[in-house]
Amino acid sequence: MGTRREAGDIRDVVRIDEEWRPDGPAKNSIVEVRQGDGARVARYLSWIGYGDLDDAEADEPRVWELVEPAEPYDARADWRPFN
Amino acid sequence: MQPFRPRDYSNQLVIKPRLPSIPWIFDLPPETTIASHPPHDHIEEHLHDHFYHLHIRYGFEFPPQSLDAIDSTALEVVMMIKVEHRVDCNPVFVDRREGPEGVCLKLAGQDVHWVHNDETAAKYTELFAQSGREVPEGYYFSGFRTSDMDERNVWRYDRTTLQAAIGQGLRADQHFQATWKEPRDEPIEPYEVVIGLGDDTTDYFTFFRLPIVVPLGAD
Repeated sequence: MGTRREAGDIRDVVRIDEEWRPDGPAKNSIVEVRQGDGARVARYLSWIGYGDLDDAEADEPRVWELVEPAEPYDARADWRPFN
Repeated sequence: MQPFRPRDYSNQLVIKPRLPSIPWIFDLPPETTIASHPPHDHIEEHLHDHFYHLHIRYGFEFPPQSLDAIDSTALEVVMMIKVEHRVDCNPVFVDRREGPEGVCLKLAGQDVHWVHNDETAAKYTELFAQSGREVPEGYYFSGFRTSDMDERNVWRYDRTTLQAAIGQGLRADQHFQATWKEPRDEPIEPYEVVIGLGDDTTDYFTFFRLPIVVPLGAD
């Protein structure tokens, strides 16, 4: 759905389209995948859609890139839902 | 001394709070306006079922009214919730489907959607203050206006659409779910929620309180 880039900190915002519980995120949830040091860590966001990305972009202009329409996203990540 | 004159509401969009009238949508029993739930399987239209969440629900009624003074308007709602929480709106429900799902009201051929709106939140915070009441510390009004289907832009309904929906009166239920802004694996203790309703074109507005336990005599 979108990516936040700032000084080497890269965070992808992804809507989950499959059920992965209990070992991963719930279907329809939105997660943040943070990249750094060759590893990815994913956690839940409380967001529900592109409106939240619009708000984030308004709060932090120039660091957000929206992906519209959404594109497939496939990545392995360490799942820390409430980190 | 001036004689008492009831306020003329003919140029307003009048909306009245009611008890919810459609039990068991999202597994909420009758006479329940506030309920805290743990994470559970997905239910259609549910927004935060994978989190601990607080259900917020009320009924409302648009009584028969002319709407002659309204070209178009966006509906508004605000909810006074804790600062650690966010809240999101479901469509308007007019009946129940199989199980815990609801049947959505269609306006202009589509479900009613809502978008977060800071202007609405500020407006009702001021209206609340004008009546001598203050938003307690630790709480805020989260505001919404009706939106397009993408829930990104405000959507106004024209008079014809509103007339067709309201007709001789419209009663329906509105649901919301609040959850932690920063997701937590932690239950939400139920609390009372003040609701404000109105629209972005007329002056009409109303505030009411959703109790954790509905008192006898409420309608």
